[in-house]
Amino acid sequence: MTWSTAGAGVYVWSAYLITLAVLMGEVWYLVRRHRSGAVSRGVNRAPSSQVSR
Amino acid sequence: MGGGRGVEDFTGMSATRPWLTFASPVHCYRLAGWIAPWIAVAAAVLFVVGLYVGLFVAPADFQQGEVYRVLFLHAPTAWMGMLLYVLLAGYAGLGWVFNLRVSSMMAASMATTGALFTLLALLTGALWARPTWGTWWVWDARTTSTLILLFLYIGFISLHSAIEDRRRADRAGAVIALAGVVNVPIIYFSVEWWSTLHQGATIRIGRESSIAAEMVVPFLVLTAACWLYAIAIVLFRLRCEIRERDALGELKVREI
Repeated sequence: MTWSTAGAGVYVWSAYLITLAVLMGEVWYLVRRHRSGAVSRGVNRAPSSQVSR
Repeated sequence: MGGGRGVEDFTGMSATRPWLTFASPVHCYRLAGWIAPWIAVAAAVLFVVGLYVGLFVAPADFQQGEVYRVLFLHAPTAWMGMLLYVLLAGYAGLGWVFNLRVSSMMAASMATTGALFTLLALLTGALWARPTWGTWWVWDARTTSTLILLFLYIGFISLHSAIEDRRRADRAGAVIALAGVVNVPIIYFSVEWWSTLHQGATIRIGRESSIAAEMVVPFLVLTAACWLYAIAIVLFRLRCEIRERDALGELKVREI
């Protein structure tokens, strides 16, 4: 890396960190949503197998 | 819920109508659970490689200096925002016309991810514009139409969440999704149709790229990472959606 965190680096690092934070936030939310469903319905239980299309 | 028939009975039905196999929430649920973790791992690897190459390997731009590295994230997120909306509209339309539940659930599963990619495109665009254009925001044709795309996503998500009956929510969502899809070509061609601050496309399929090869690599790697991330997340969300609708008793036994 030949550039410092001063100047342009602030914008670049901000963009990378914001992107990672947003994407990881979505993953965290989905894991929580998935687990809450798993807890209420039984872990890894598949949906009823007779459902229609 | 239930009845006495199992997956084998549905498999028997799909043997006569094979195109129905993956229109079944059961099969989709299992297939998504099987492939999504692998796609997520591939996305994580590509993100690490792409971010490393983008930050530390790619050379500085002779005009923009180091700040151009923001574009390694800005362009892929902007592309994903547009592509996911087109896919969302397609799935929502299919679900509406052919009454395919899984298709509508796919559309609903794409909305949040598409909205987040569009939001990221706007945020990273602002972070690039400040040192380059001297301002965080301009009411440029492309930025404005991308903001409208974000509002369309928010409209779809809000409308879908506001209607309790999921089937009615799917149909209402399909209307707004199909009406809004006209915005996507406007975003794409805005730099050609109007005189804007935005530059034209630098990477085009079938044509020689106007940027150096070592700069194209992080673009392509991060674009692939965003694609795989979106696929994995949409499949995970589809599983949540199927299970929640099943819990609500909305996936009824089909009379055959």
